[in-house]
Amino acid sequence: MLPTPCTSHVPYERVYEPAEDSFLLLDTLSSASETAFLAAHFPAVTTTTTTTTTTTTTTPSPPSSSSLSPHPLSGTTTATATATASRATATTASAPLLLLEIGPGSGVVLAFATAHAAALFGGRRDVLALGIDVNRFACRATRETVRKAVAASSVPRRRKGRRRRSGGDADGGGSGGGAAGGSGAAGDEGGTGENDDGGQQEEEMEEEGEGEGEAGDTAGYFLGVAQGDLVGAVRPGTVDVLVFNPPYVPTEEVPAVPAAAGGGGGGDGDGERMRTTFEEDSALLALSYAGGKDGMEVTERVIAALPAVLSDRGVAYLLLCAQNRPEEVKERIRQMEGGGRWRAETVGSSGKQAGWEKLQIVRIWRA
Amino acid sequence: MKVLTLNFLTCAVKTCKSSANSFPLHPKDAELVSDDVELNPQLLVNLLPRIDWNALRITSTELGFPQLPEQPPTAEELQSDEKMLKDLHTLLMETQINEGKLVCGNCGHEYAVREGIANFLLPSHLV
Repeated sequence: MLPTPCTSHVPYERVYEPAEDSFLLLDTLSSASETAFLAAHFPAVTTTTTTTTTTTTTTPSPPSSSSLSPHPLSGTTTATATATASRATATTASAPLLLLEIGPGSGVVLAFATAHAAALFGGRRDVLALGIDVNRFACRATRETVRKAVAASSVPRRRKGRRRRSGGDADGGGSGGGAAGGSGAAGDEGGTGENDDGGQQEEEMEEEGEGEGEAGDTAGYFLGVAQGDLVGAVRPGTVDVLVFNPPYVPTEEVPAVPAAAGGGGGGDGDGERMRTTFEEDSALLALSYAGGKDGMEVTERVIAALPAVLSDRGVAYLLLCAQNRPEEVKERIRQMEGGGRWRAETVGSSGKQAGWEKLQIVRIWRA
Repeated sequence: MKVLTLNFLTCAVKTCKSSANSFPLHPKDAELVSDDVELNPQLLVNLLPRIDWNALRITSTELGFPQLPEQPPTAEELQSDEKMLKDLHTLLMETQINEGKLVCGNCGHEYAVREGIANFLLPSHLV
């Protein structure tokens, strides 16, 4: 089990507290089936085989008795084409992944995915993580949660490195994290029981490339958090992995998105102030759960934006609850324009009640 | 917010989406801070194809960083160019915009950045 990020600093009176839905996302993203999918979907190196075909066509001279031929086209059918195919293989390093979580709230999911990037993405840690939340307190909270989780993910290794050196190991470990990671002592270390997670992280860091400056780290790169309304400010075609735990509870109405103050560059606009009233706190929390009709009003806006915002290889993880009518939602996604390439499958679920999955994670991508 | 983020963001005003001028957003009165991040040459090399180089050139100049060449380096060129690796690393991975504004080149709207968090919420008349 990968450690769950610490969120003790999050002001839960105005930022959604990690709950069953958040944990379902963590479990799903780190499940064996999803990590296998992501590793295969985002290979660090792609091997492209280009087949160059050279065609030589030999057309025989037209038969002199062509007019007598019962098959006027027979002359062309006797043409022989010799195709010589030569295959060339080229390897291309895959571009770093842009991971975007919309509405990270406490930041627990974004922090998890960032801190454990290598474990989740097939050994890759060239994951650029970005969060966008409508709630300024959530932006602050997320930043802190990610910072702590990334720091925590590297602590056991440093300790380990010191232990190993004091244990009289060759100084190979000291010259660079990569050497320490590749020493193969991971299993032994994990077995000491001093840190259960340490063993696992050590293994992961063996997977990632040697010769990297921060070898030994499993974390991705945190770009930051912006305050905004869903994906409105995201440049089209850029997002490789999108995670969204939406406001999915059916409600009478969806609360209005707070507007920035007009003019003056949004100096003291709503959500910029540190002090809030009880009503303001309630409104901020409502934004995190109130989904309007069928609990789908906000989610539908994001689904509609997916074709534009996802990169060609992009994958979205969307949480739905039973009241959202997930089967219908998935079917609508599969029908989205794009030549029948859209896929939507349930890849994680929890809270089974009388045959109904209370919550589920739907993976959306183009085949 | 790391400077690299600017390569993934654009003006949030709907009518700006179709305008080439809405990207990249232009930093104004930016107060920068720097994080110590270890240089990862491979990351930068791999980043090249997914960066909008022209936008990055603009951002770099506007933030007062060394002028980037007109054409992006090839992977091989970058790999062997220690200075450019260092420059790009400093600009993209270490530098953060802490305070200031991000201005849309199309509509002129200014998004405030405070404590490292850019605010893309729009005033009600622009939503």
